[in-house]
Amino acid sequence: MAEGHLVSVGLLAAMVVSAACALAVKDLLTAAALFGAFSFLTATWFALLGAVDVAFTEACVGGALTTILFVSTAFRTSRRFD
Amino acid sequence: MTTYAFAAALFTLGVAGMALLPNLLRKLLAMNVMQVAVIVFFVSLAFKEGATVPILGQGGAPQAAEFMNPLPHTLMLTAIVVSVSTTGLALALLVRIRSRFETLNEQRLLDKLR
Amino acid sequence: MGASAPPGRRDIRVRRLLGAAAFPALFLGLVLGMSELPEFGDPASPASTHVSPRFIEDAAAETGAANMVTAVLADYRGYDTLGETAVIFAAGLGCLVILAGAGARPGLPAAGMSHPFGSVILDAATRILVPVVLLFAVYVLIHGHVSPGGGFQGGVLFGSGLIMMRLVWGPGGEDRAVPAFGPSLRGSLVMACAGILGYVGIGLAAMAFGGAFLDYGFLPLGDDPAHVRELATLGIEAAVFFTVAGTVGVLFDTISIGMRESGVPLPPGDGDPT
Repeated sequence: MAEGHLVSVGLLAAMVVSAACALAVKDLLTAAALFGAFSFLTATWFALLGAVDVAFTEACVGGALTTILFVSTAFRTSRRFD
Repeated sequence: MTTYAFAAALFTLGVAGMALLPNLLRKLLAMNVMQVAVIVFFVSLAFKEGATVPILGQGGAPQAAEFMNPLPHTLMLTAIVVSVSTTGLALALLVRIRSRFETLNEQRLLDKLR
Repeated sequence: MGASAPPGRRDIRVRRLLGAAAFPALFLGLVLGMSELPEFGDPASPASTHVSPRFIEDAAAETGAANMVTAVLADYRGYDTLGETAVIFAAGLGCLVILAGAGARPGLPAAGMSHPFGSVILDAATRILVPVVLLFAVYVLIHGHVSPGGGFQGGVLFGSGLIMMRLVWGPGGEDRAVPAFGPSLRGSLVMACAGILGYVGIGLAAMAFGGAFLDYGFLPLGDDPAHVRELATLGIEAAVFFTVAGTVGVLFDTISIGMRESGVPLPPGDGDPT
């Protein structure tokens, strides 16, 4: 997996784009879902780099748990960012 | 080098979001992006060309060049779990702020506090 | 803050623009600094040649764990991991303290997710999925020596399974539809406390048998030192597992429903601060 390979550059670009979208949208549920997508892309990148434990943790924590916490906050506060 | 540049871009995105976005929840999302950028950077440092995952298979004595560097992996593993607990604590604070001031907008909060 | 009148909205906008100009500078600075780093993937970089070879070459023989990340996390760096586990536990307690008594207020959906999302399809799917998730979590914990996984990942998975039960069937407890194990806030708290106490207990046991704190080699678990350390590492991972799983439950329960609806009695005199 050499540097500058199409897969790695595409994955990194997708990470940056999904993170930017998660910060740009005005709806908390959409932002949480986009953040989950960002986390799973990051986990894939970690697995490509051979950091399987980090990838596993990132997929569990970032993809599932952080998203769940943000969604439950949306239920408790408001869905729209004010 | 492109990898490091992407990590720098993610970090800048997170810092800019923390500074510029008006809503505290969005600031928290930006903080998470920044943390992930730091983790991406460390894991990239641990990568070695031609090495495999740091789990010993069958065979003789392990050679250092055969495996990825496990130390950054360990540090980042705990960093991820600590980041989720700080996120949870911050969300609890935000729920409390929202139920007290009925807004999470930074400017409106400052207006109400004045 | 200046001593003059508070800044108006236009001043704030100007400041925002000026601030926005700082971020390209930050990016350029970071990239310039990173250009001094060794090449990406260079096997001869200092990070790969100085400290780590010792751990890569000796970890399996010394600790009996084929997964070097687990070996470093739970054995060599056990004291540090105790600190991390304590941070997680403290975050759970902090949530509990911050949201204690944050109950209903008119105009806000304070009950949040306290009502179960019950439906036939969800119920059936959860009945099939939850046992698999919980079993996989325990597998990840026990198999963490020889495959990716360990206490942190298994704990998060276990907590996610409990959250799934909570979402579909509502909060558990003595008088609820779901049995008291796990899903109630009280059960999660007990689990987290048991985990962190077990971690400290293993460390103190090593002291009692003549070693230093968390020096597993002294535990009387057998003759082969690598095997003893492997067993103690498994104990540490289990302690981390229970702390993380319990804290995940506490975080979710306090953030989503608050304490008033969760079946844990409020401290006396702690009302809604309005």
